[in-house]
Amino acid sequence: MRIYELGFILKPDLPHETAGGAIEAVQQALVDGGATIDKVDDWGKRKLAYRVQGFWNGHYVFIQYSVQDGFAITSEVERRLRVADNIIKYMTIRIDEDLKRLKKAQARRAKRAPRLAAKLAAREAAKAAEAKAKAGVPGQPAPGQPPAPGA
Amino acid sequence: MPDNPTSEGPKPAARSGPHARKKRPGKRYFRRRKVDYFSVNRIDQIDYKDVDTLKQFLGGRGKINPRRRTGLSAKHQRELRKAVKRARNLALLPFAGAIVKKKPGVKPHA
Repeated sequence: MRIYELGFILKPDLPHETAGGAIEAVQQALVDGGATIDKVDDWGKRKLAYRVQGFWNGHYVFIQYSVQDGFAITSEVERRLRVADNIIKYMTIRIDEDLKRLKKAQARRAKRAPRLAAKLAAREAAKAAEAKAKAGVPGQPAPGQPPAPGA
Repeated sequence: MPDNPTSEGPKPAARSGPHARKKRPGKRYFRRRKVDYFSVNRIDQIDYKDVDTLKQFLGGRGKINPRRRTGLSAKHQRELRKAVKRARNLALLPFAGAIVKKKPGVKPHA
């Protein structure tokens, strides 16, 4: 199973229904090709970093889908995006391996969470103890300020 | 030397915050300690859609800053490069050349 993320930019001046229809059409094409839609992220209108086909703004949409045989469907959908008038830019990236790595990293982090909490608590305690010791000595600067060099 | 870990001392208090070392008048001053943004903030993956984060690591003309400026680990710098290039492809970030306006709230990194 491969997971892809397709991002595309619609023309900014489309009427609401046209834009919605275009997004629907892309999803339909993916489903027809045997993909399942995992996530649709509609950013709405946004400024482009550079001019694309004469536009300075664009309507960003991201669709995450998973499919068994990724190549056929992805190339077919990209072909359609290329010829679609309303779409000014698109990019598909494969993300299953990235997601796998992310999951692993999160699992590792979760496993280490208690250790991290303990470390942070210890650091806090040390800081508090230090502040207390400093407060005990008269004529010292307020806690939190670094001691003067050579003091 | 400022980057020598032994002179910094092993105590954890010296590592609190990126502003731990500041210029001292009349004395030799220390370079600001570089911190790996993604490690410090515990970000597991650099997302090309997170434009505001990526922008911190670009120069005024949209170039990716070198590691000596970003302070990132080699791994994170690599991931950053990939994310920025993807973002450029979708017009989320400029290709180098144009002048980028930075968000007023975002502090330039390093």
